[in-house]
Amino acid sequence: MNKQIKKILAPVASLRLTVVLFALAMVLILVGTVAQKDMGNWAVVNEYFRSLWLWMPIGLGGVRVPFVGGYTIGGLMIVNLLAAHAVRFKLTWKRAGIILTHAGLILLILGEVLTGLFAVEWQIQLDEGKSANFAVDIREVELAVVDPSPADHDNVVVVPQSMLEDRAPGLPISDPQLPFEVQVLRWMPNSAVTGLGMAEPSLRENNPATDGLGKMVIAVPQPRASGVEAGRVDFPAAYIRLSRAGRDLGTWLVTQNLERLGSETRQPVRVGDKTYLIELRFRRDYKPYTITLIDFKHDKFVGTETPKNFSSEIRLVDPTVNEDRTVLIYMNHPLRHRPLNSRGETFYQSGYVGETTTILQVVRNPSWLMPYIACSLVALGLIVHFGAMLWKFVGRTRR
Amino acid sequence: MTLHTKRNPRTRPGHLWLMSATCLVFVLGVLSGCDDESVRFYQAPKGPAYVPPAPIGPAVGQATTEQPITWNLPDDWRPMPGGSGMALASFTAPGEAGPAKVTVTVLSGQAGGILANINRWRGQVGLGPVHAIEEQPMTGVRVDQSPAGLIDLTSTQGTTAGVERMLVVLVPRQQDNRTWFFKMTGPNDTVARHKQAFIGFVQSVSFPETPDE
Repeated sequence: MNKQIKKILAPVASLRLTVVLFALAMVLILVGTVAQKDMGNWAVVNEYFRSLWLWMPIGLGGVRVPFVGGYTIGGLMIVNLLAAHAVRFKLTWKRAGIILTHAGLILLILGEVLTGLFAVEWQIQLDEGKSANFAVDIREVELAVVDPSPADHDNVVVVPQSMLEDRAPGLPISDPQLPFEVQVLRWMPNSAVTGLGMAEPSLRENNPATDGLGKMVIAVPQPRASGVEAGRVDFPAAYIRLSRAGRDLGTWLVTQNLERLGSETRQPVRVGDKTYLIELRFRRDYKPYTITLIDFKHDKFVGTETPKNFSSEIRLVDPTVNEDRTVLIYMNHPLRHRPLNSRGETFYQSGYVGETTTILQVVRNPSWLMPYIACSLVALGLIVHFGAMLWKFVGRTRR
Repeated sequence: MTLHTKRNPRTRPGHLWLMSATCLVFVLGVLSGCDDESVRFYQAPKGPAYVPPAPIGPAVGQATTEQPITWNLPDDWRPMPGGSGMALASFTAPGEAGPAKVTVTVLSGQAGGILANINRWRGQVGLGPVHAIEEQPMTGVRVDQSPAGLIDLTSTQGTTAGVERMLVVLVPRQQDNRTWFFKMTGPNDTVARHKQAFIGFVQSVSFPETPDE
């Protein structure tokens, strides 16, 4: 039995496979790094490293070839390493260093998988004196259909970006929770808007919008923000046709291009005797707590424009844990908070706009400790391994 | 000292269990990440009441009482294809040092505050912020009977700053609670050459009439 298993595992445990996997990883990292010239960091991370396979550009006029993604390489590395231990390595004290090092490597790969799956990063942008009870993910948008008729809350139905961008033309998105069907006529991963009256005649003539904002402005596709353009984010836009029971409710332009400048981007859609507000917005995560920015300070080194320190004095009110406190968040001094029945979140001072607007990054990563443990194991393993070799060498020299 | 005394290397059941469990965690993790997202419903705290936005620009084919904004365009300025960002209209003005860009933008209210905008523009040409609007030299002009301010910002860092020179005319209009921005940016020589044409262009503007006017 053992011999049979060993025979099966032998090719998987091959050192040649290890070398091939390292070579593939190097190619993937190189191409993934170069890809950030044209794509955003997170798009590259998801497409190249957090994927099973991908179509990789080879620099020949848009020619792409299939290639293994980070998950495939990482998974095969784990299989290769464990198979090698099962077939070749012995569990001996002499091998303790190697085993610890390899355990650290496996933990490192698993930690990245768990981070990719469960870690979230959100942003809260606040002006002084303003409050927020939700955070946004600026890497992704959602189409929100809001029913504001209840007196004490809003009923919200959201369609995620993945459904909007992947939808085949002509195939409507329908869901019992949606008050109408949504057909995506045109999706723009990044866009700019321009006044319709001032747009090129060809753009005006082909404007698909028949209602709302789209009759005043037109969206023009833009290249996606790349990883080398710090601070730039994509502003998607879409032309959508709404219908209910075969009745056309108009074609609308939805974009949050205007949101960043404080303009109203919600548009009222009348369905029967009810009015819904539709909006393409950064994906939201509502919180059980409220954060208010009391004061934002932005200090610079005297006589220069170089930032020295920026800090946000905030008030956190969380009725779920009876908490009402004032906290100063500044560089390397994040706020950690755990609402009732929820995982803990960490608020970092991330950036600012002007002198009175702060940007806080809200991070939740259940596996944040794993890289530290993994690297410690690798370091310990290497110390043990090379320490043992040195000990052996010194012993031999003495003899 | 060894944990196992057998010398012949062979597959151990413990290793196989460990291997299977680790691979299972990896595969399940990756597969669970492949789930498609779907439409979600939730109740959210009430958002702000909906207020119809002020018209952003002249609409085409729209039954509206609003008239489009009009101006006299200098002969050598050309429209920029595809527009530019949030601009209602964008043009290029030619120059040997490179073209200058002219944009017309309108935003509701005070567009985030005049001081904040001034400091944003100063930052774009590599100048430090001012602490009060009065600290920023501004020339008074009138645009279609509305008081307006002309700001002329020149970079002290030359071409190393993002923008070498910038002219901005900002027109806060209480009649329709909007702020209009006319902006020219580009190489110092080109902007200097077109400065008078820019001022003439802005002063030729006729704003859309609002019901109160």
